[in-house]
Parts: sequence; structure tokens; C-alpha cells
Amino acid sequence: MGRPVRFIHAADLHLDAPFGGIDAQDTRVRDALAASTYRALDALVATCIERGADFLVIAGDVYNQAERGIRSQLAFAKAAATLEHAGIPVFVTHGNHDPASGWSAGIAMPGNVRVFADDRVERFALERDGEEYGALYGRSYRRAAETTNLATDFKRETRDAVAIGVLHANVGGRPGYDDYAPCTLEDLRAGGMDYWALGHIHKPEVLSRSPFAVYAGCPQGLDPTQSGPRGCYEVTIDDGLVSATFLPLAAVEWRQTEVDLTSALRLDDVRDAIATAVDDALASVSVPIVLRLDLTGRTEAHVVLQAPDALAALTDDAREEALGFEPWAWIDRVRDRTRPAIDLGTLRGAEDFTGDVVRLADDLLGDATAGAAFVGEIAAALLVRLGKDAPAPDIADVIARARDLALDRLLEGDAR
Amino acid sequence: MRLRRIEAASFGALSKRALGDLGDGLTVVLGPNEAGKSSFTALARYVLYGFPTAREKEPQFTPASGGRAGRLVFEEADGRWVIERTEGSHGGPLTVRTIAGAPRPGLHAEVTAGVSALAYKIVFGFGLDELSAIEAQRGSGDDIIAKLYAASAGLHTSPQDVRARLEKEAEEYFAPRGRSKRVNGLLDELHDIQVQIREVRDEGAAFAEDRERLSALETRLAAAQEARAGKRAALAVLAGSVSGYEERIATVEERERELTDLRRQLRAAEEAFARAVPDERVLAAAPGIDVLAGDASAFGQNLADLRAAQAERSQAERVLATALAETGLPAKRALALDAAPDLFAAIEEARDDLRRLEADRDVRAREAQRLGAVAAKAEAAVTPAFEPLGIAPGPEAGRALDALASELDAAESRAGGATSPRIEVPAIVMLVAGVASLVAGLLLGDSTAAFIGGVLALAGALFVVRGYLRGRALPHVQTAGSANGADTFRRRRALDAARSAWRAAEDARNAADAAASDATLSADTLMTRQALFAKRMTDAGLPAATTPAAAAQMITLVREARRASDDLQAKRDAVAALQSRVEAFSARVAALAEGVLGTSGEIEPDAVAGLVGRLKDALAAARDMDARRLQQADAVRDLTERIKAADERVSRGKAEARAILVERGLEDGGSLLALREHLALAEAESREADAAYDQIADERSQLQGALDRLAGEDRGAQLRLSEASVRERLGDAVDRYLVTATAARIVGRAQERYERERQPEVVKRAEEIFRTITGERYVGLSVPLGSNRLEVFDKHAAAKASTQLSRGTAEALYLALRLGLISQLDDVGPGLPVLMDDVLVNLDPERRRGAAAAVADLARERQIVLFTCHPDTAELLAKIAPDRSELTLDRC
Repeated sequence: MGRPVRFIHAADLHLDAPFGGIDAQDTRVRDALAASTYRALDALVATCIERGADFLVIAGDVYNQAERGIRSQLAFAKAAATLEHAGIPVFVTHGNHDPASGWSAGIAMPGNVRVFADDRVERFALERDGEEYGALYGRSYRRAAETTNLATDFKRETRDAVAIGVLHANVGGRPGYDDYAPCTLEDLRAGGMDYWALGHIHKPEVLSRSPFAVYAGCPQGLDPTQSGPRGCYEVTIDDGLVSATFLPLAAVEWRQTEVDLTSALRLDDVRDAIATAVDDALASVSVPIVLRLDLTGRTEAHVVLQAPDALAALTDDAREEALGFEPWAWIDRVRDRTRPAIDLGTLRGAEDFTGDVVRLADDLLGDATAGAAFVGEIAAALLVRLGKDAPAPDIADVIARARDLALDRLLEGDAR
Repeated sequence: MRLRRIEAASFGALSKRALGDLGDGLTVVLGPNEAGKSSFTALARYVLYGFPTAREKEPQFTPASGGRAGRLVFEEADGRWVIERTEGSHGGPLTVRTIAGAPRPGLHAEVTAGVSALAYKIVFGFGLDELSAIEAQRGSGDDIIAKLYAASAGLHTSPQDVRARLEKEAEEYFAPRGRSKRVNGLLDELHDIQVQIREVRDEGAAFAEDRERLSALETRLAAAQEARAGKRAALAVLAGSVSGYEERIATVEERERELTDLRRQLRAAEEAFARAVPDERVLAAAPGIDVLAGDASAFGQNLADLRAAQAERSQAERVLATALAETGLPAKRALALDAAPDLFAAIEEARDDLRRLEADRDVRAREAQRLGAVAAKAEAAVTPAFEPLGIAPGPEAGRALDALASELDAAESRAGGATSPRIEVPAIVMLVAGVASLVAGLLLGDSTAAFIGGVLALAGALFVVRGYLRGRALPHVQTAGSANGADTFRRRRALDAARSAWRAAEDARNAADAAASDATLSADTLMTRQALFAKRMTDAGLPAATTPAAAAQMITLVREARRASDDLQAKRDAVAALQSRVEAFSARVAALAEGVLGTSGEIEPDAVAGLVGRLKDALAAARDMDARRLQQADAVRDLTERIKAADERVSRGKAEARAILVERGLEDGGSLLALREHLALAEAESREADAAYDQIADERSQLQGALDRLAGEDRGAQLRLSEASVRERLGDAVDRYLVTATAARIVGRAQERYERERQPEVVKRAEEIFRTITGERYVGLSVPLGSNRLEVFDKHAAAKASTQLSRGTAEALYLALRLGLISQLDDVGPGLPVLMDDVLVNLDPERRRGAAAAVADLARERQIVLFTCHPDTAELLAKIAPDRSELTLDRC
């Protein structure tokens, strides 16, 4: 075979994906997020060229939706053209987000783009200097909700010195993801591939090393839940020996952090703790981040955080400061999950008003139906108003926080 | 902490009055009306909370003069302090001073902790007017009942307040029947964004279709472009034909106008040619005239020179005559006189010599005369000098003197020889010194000294011997003895004088003789020179007696006359030459003028110039005419050729115009009008083609722009980010609403349970007090939170609202509520005393007693100052609370 096979395995580009769960009020942040999937694609192309990849494999969901955006199609065509110019073929499967049956703007792809068939496992031979040295096997989704096990149709041919399977699938029934093209590791092993280039799961992960089955993850995290580094894998197959190295590509990283305020007494302490959390988050990255902070702990600062707009003002200050860093950080949300520095047990035993409050909350928390009814009655008009946009409230969380809020106010001497 | 004194510096009718010392518990202040009870009550409140401004609906207690001022003296076991306030802005400045003990700058805050001004007024310092206010304030921001409840619940804040605030906060997010709340606003915003997202999506969906449309439009555009180009080309050709035809027609017309003009010019030129006939006789003499004209200026100069030369000649003649007259000689002789330079030089030399010789002669004559006088004088001095010697001056005097001198010498020699030989003293000294040195040298053994001494001694000896020998050798002139020596001496002296006078006379005479000889020689030389000069003058033709000066002047005048003569001759020659030239030119002019102008005879030189001018004018006129004739001949020739060429161009233009019409198919009856109709038609077709092209191009451009925008914009992504942003804020608002509203609801439920299961201690206490005051007529009291009802219950559980009670009963109820509340306040307003102003006045005796008992009872826990103007009330309290303090106030 000669020199080792080196290729880049990516998946779930989700070009033009909508970003959910973020309140990006700053123009710079909005622009960065809107462009982030494209910047990740640019980084992917640059990585292929810099690493001297033999080819690029994209295991599904190049586009975010069946109605592939025009901009995203143009961007992908341009990226592919760049790779074609560098002599790097691109092998693509359609995933559940961009099934083959989806709409296309009719934008022609360069000749180096090879799309796997959606009606069978298609084999593309790998050639170097006119000599075949291996093959790629893959299958695209015809429709979004592909519920059949496609992995079982993958069979390596005996002539393949190197065999690589490309599939967009939920291996092992991962929760939190649609169970499309469901299969098991055993199904993958049965295919006899040297390497499984998988897509669908957005978190990068090596499922198996024998054979190598890898989720490349998405190059760009798409919402606050997709925190941590995102990118692709550089895969080397040298005489049957496979190695895969993760390479970060994300233009913007998402981070979620808990900030323990147990020892905080004043608002200044909270501010310092937030600043420290931002510094810690930025210390480990080289790209801008979108940061979510949950303030936690039973703390004296809980009371001051309940003051109207106190947390909002604190968040605004921290945001302004964090945006001045390089790379910048956007504090998407600071959620107060602190608890008052109140001994609920003591209050619960007191024969006074606060004791009544605690016991009443206990009753509601202890009886899910009663609690749901209690909160439901309060939320009814709001939920009607929200209609289909109505969220499902976490009853217990609402009651517990309402109890804490009431106790804060009652014990603070708030009625000034 | 207890209030000891209330001091009014200046407050209403109170001026520098104090109330105190107040007791720890109950203090009864008894005073008639207008004694200042209400003033002290109000002053305490104003010092603590500030003086009201004129706009506030509070009693002002303005003093007759000056600002309001007062102070409160507080006391505790370890000190005594003053809280003082004077009138000023914001209630007036407050001062805390320490009378004894440690400073307590925060005393005011300590004393009033947790008690607002309104609460103080209603609960702590009240009179009959404020009694009912405890109920009137319900539902306000300073709900006393709510505070009462909070206090009873062990809280610093009222659950009612907390619930109200939470509900208000929740309503900021959402109100079931409210509008413009945050949730609603966010939902509206979300809806707007979703509409925009759908628009963007729809635009995207039409992308492929638009691309196909774009492709079709580009095909149509190419066809339209081709059609437009064809129409434009045809139009251009036709327009070219029209403009070509118009151009040619215009050219033909222009040429015809030009032809007419040329023919008119030709006729004029021919007529001018016929008129232009030059004077051939003048033209034939033209070379001669030209030469004359060329020489005319030289002639003019000659003529002017002649006039000048003639004038100069006259002047020279006058100069010569004058010069000759000055010589005084006849002209011929004067001009023949030798006046060569050597003569003049000889005259000059003679003049100088004669002057020098005359001067020398005079000098020498004067010298000879002077020296002659000197010699005569010297000769006169000889005789007296000879007289002592007896010698007469004369030729023999010299020898006589010499003889006498010899005689005297001999006499003197003899007189000198009679003396001893003369030994020189220095020789003797030298001898002695030499001997001494020799002896000393010998004695001392110094050979050098001995040698020198020897030499000196020898030399000294030699000189001594020599002197001796000389003295012996001299002859002796023995005079008559010593008496003859003086005579000799006198004769010697006379001899010397005579000899000197003799020599001087001889010298002077010799000098005088020499000078006389020189004078004579000089005079002779002068005469010889004068004779030589006279001869020279004679030789030169001048009189012999002519002096050098006169000769020199004559020579100068003669010379000048000769120069004048020469100059005159030169002038005469010049005049003759010029005269000749002028006459020659005049003759030439006269000859030519005779042939050309018909003049005859000689002409004066002065007329020559005019005649030459006339000749020149005649020649110029002839030549001009000749030139004009030639010019007209050329014009005629040129115009003839141009007319011919114009004829040809007109014919050619007409032919070309006809060709254009023929080309456009208008050979029969074609005209410019018909051609223009064709052009208008072509223009209309071209415009239509342009419009069709522009329409397609515009449509294509718009479509292309839309597609480019769709391809490049991230509006969709931005909108989805906005949607996410709004959803986040919406979720947050929903969460905040749910938590806050649930918290409010929990507090409300807790209140209900609390009221239901736990009667507030405050209300219980108030109920007890009310029961005591009313003598068990009323046994129950209800103060439900969240309502404006106060209810009392009698023994039969019949409820009555406060509004249904009599005034006295209602006041008893309000007093009971205050007392109950104050009894539960503990740390609230810890230093505040309760000041009651005749609040028992409307109670019947039985209820007054009960109220007094309740007051006395409360006074055990908190300081109370009860003002009354009723002595029986004071007595009642004295009975119930013997330990009370009592103060009296006099009327102000």
C-alpha cells in the first residue's frame, strides 16, 4: 500500500444551524454565532490541507435541515472547491437533518465531492497514483426518520487493504438523540471495517478501538448543552494499525459552569466568583466562548441576589468585562440556584409563620399532584397565553425556589 | 433607654420651657388646656423625625419669633445624651450630644429603629385625632396593622407586605388580565421574529425557481440585446443617410450662395483692373528716381554741412583778423616772422639766464660792500692794539711783531733756568712704592710682589733721574731779576693781542678784496649775456631792445595768428568741396525733374528736397497703381477658377443627395421629408428594442440581486438567534413569574393557615386589653389580614365592625390595638416613649379605669407619658399606678 492512509473524519456540520437556548444580545456575539458553523467549515478545510489528508469523510448532516440553506450550500460548494484545488476528495453521506430527499437549491458540487447512495451501501474505491489501495463504504439517508439498521448492510470486500465505513447512526441507542439508523457495536464489528466514521452524536467520542468506531461530533457546538471542545478526527491507518487524533475546530465554544457561592456574603463576593469562573473558562480555550453560569450553594449572598435586578445588573457588568477579553466570553446566562442561608430544618420545627411556610412547601413538594395543581393554578393563564411555546415547568424546582424566595423576604425585613 | 426631658427652645407658644424629669415607667402630666401638652407631644415627634414644612398638613407650631428648635434628653444607666434639632431644610439639622457617658453618635438611629415617622405618630405619639388613624392607614404603605401582624409573627416585616410585593413583582412578568407585561411583550417579539423567519424561509424555497428564471432571463436578455443592436445599427444607418442628405443639401445651398458671391466679386475685380492704369513715364524714370531718393539724404547732409562750413569760415576770418591785430605787426610781416620753436626756446633760456645773472650780480655787489665794511673795521682795530707795543701799523708791522716775540721768548727762557732741577713727585712716589713692595716681597718671600716692587722702584728711579737731568739742561733767560718777569708777561700779552688784531685785519681785507672782484665779474657776465640776446632778437627780426618777456609774447601771438590763418584756409577748402557736391546733385535733380515733372532751369539747393519728394511721390503712385492692376488681374484669375470649382461641387452635391434618396428607394419623388419619416419609424423601433432590453435587464438585475443577497446574507441565522434570544428571555420571565407568583401564593396560604390556626399574639393582647377596657362587654377581636375590616365580638359572638361602634368604644378599640401592638414590639423603637395626649377623655369612667389599668400595665414594659387636663384622670392613674411620676404644666 505504500505510505499510510491519512484522512479527516468529520460529521454533523449542521451548516446554518439555528442556535437555541441563548440570549445573545451583543451584536458581536450574534455575528460570531451566526457565522460559527461556516468558520468551523473553513477550519475543517484548512485542517485537511495543512495535514495533507488523502481525503475528507463527512458522516452526515452537512446541512442543518432538509431545506438546505442557500448560503450553506454555496459555502459547502466553495469549501469543496478549495479541497478539490488541493487534490482532496470529499466523501459525504446524508443524515437525518439533510436526507437525500431534501430540497436542493440546485447548486452543483465540485467533482471531488462523492455522495453515498441512499438505497444501498455504496463503495468508493480509494486510489493513489492510479492504484486502488482501499475503499470507503457508506449509505445516505433517503428520509429524515431513518429507523432501519443500516449498519448490517456494510460488508468489506476481501480485496480492500483499507476499509472505512461511513454512517450516520445512533449506535447503542444513545439517549438525547433521535434513534435513527439504530445499530449496535456488534453490527459495526460485523462489517469488517478498519474504521467506522460515524455521525449523529454531537459529542466527539471513540466508541470502540477494535474496530475503531468514532463519533467525530459536530465541529461547532450548536447550543449550550453542546459544551466543551468540538472538532474532527485525524485518522491514520498504517498497515492495519489505526490511530485517531481529535482536532478542535469550533469557532465558538460553549461552557457551563457552576459557581459555588457558599462562602459569599455580599454582592461583591458574587461578582468576584463570577469573574473567577470566567477566567477559569477562558484559561482552557483559544476561541471565544459562550458561558452559562449556575450560582449554587447555601449562602448569605442568596438574600442580596433576590433584590430586583441585582442579578441582572451583576450579569450585565460581568458580560461587559468578559466581552473585553481576548478571546472574548459571552456570559449567556447567570442562573441563581443558590439557597438561602437558612436552616430549613430549624424553621420547619418552629411554630411560627416561617415554620408554616416551610411546612406548606413541604406538603406541596411531598404531594406531586397537589404541587402540580398548586403551581398549575398559578401558571394556567400564563400557559394559555404561551400556547405552543409554553414550557413544562419543573414543579418541584418552582416550589422549592418559591419557598426560598418567600423565606428570604420574610426573614430579611424586606418591607421597608 | 429612657426619655428624661423634653425641652422646647422655641416651639409654638413654648419658649425655653422643659418637661421633665420623666419617670422610667408611667409619667402623668397634668395641665390645663393651652398648657402645652400637645406642643410637647408634637415637639418630641418633630425632634425625632424633623420639623414639617409649611406645605405638609401638620401643625406647624411656629413660634412668635425665630425658628423652631427643641431637644430630647435621653438617659441610660451609663450616660445621658441629647438629641437636638433646629429648624432647617429636610426637617432641620439633627445633633446628638453627650452630656455624660460615652459618645453615641448613632443614638437617633438606635432610638427610632424600625419606626417610621407615620408609625410613630400613630402608635407612639398620639392624641384623639390620631386614634382612628390606625385603621385609616390600612392598606397603605405604612399599614400599622400589618406591622402589628409582623411583630406578632416574630418577623421584622409583614407577611402581607411580602406577599403584596411578590405579587407586584410577579405582575411585572405576567398578569392574567394585564397587558403590556414582559411575557406579552416577549411573545409579540417572538411572533414578529417567526414571521420574518418564515419570510426568509420562503425566499430560500424560491431560490431554485429563481435560478431557472434567471437563466431564462439571461437567454432573453441576450436575444433582446441582439435585437437592440440590430435596430440601433439600422437606425444609425438611416440616421446617417438623413444627416448625409441634409448635409449635402445644405452644402449645395451653401455652394450656390458662395457661387453668386464669387461672380459678384469677379465683376468687381474686372472693373478695378480696368481702372488701374499706371504712369509709364514715371515708371521709366523709376531707377533714376530711386537713385535720387537714395542720395537725397546725403544731399541733405551735404547742404547742412555747407551751411555750417560757411559759418565756420566767417568765424575763422574774424579770429585771424583779431590775432593779427594783437601782434601789432602788419599781416604779411607777422605771418612771415620766424616763430620756430628753437627761437622760443632761446627766448625762454635767455629770460632765465638774465634773471639768474641779474640776481647774482646784485648778491655779489651787496657781499663786496659788506666785506669792505668789515675790513675797514678790522683795520681800525689794529692801531690801538699796536700802541702798547710801540709799533706802528704798516707793511713792516709783521716783522716787528715777530722780532718782539722772539725777544720775549728769550726773556722767558732765562727766567725759567734759575730754578733747581725739577724732580717729578709721581716718580718719587713710584720709586718709594716700588722699594716698599720689593722689600715686602723679599721679607715675605712673595716673589711676584718683590718683582713688581722691583720694577716699580726701577721705573720710579728712572723718572727721577730724567727730571733732574732735564732741569739742568734748560738755558736760563736771565731777566732783570724777578721784577722784569711781570713786564715780560705784560708785553707778551700785548704782543698776542696785536698779532691777533693784525691777523684779523689781514683776513678781512683779503675777503673784501675777493668779494669786490666777484661783484665785478658778475656784472660783466650779465652785460655779455644781454648783448647776446639782443643780437638774437635782431636776427629774428625783432627789435634788439626787445625783452625776453616781450619776445615770448610776440612769438605766441604770431603763432596764434598763423593758426587762425591755417584754420581759415581749411574752412575755405571745405566750403568749396561741399558747394561742389550740392551743386552737382541739384543739377541731377533738375535734369530728372525736367524729364518727369516738366520743370525747367536751375534749381536752388533748398528746393532740391521738395523736388525729390515730388519725384518720389509720383513714382510711388505709379508703382501702386501698377501693383493694383496686377492684383486685380490675379483676383480675376482666381475668382474665375473658384467659380468653376464651385460649379462642380454644386453639381456633385446634388448628385450625391439624389444617390442617397435612390439608396433609400426614394428615387421617384423622394424628398427629405420622406427620408425623415423613414428615420422616425426606425427610431421608434429602436426605442422599443431598448425598452424591451431594459425591462429584461432590470428584471434580471433584481433577480440576480435577490439571489446574491440570499446567497450571502445571514439574516436567517440572525433571526434564529433572535428567536433563541427571545425564547430564553421568555423562559426566564416565565420562570421568574412562576417562582415569584408561587412564592406570593405560598405566603398567602401561610397567612391563611396562620390566621386560622394561630391568632396573632398582638391581636390576642389587644383583645385582652379591649376586653378589660370594655369590662368584658366585648370578648373577641378579629384583625383579618388583607382586608379592611376590624371586627369585635361580644359575649354572644356577635360581630361588629369598627364602624358600627360608638365613638368611645371605637377609641377604646384603637387604644387597645396600640397597646397590644406596643406590648409586642420589644426591639422596635426601643428608646421611644409612648406619648398619649388625653386619649381617655371620651371613655366612660368604667372604661377609663380599664384603659388606665392597661396603660399602667404597659408602662411596666415601656415608658409612657400620658398628658391630661383632667385631674380625675390623674387621680385615677395615681390610684392604679402609685409608682407613676406626676408632673404638672402651667398654662403658657
